Amino acid sequence: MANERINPDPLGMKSLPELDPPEGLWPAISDDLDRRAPAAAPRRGWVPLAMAATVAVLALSISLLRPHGLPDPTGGASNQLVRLQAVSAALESQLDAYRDGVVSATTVDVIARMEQELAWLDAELSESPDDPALWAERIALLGEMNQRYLRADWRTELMLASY
Amino acid sequence: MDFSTPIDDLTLAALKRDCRRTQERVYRAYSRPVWTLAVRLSGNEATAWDAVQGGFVKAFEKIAQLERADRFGPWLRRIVVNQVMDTGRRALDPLPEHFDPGESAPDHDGAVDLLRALDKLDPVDRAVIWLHDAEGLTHAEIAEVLEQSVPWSKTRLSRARAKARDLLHPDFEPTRRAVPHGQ
Repeated sequence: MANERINPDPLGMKSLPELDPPEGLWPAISDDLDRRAPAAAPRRGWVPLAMAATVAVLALSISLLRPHGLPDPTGGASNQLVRLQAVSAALESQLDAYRDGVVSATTVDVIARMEQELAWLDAELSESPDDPALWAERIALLGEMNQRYLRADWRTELMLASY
Repeated sequence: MDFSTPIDDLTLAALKRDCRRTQERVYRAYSRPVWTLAVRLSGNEATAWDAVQGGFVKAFEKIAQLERADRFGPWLRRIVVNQVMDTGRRALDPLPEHFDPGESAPDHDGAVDLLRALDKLDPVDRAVIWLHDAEGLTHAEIAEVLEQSVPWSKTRLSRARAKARDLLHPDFEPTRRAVPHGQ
């Protein structure tokens, strides 16, 4: 007993190897999450709107990420950063237009959390302004925020109601 | 990566808005310790699969309840332990099907011997000994996870170790075998 107080692992349990999970486990979890969230699934009228928004954001991103002029072999990383910042700025400009609109009460909480996350990301970026991973995170977040605002727009609700 | 490795505030915020990309990233980061924990506690992969799948789903669904990002790992571990214990209670199978009590030649690989001993313990003994010795939980934490008292955890650990020693070295410490199984 005295030895056990000194040695917290007298039988050597920690020496046993860590195990790799099966490949199919994450897809099963992801499917399970999808099945359990019927309210979050796209509604009938939503599919074309969401697709249109996605295509618009994608087209915007591609146009801004496309190389302009001759490639600069010495400034690849810097160019990438500039393009990421440009996409981020374009998405934020689109977001500003949505921010002035009216959203339903049910989405206020979600959007408030996303705004907090954006503020946190901006704080991180102020310390690491050249981190492309952070800029990519910001772009992804802004894209999702635009989608949320679009879904919450009262005019969209009106369109859905008219179906 | 282990359970003590925290996620950052940004990741927690993304989980709270059900970002599937972040959920997958968090799964990838914790999947090895979670899977290892579930297999060691349950003694078989079928139960472990159910427990891990149910554990991650529950964690992602209840993530709004978690206030501090640095507590994510211990919080997830607690959920998975509960899932394993719940699944084990449903299965009512104290000995895993694949376990071979084997009167064959002794295996001199220490890890294999240890795994066999662990598998042969009943689920509660296995949970207490693994959570304390391998995962490093305190008796207070074990008592909380298994909804028991601290003295219960201490006593159970002592007995579980004695049983494991008996299984590992049956020729030594013969008095240990007087301890009734399952108490």
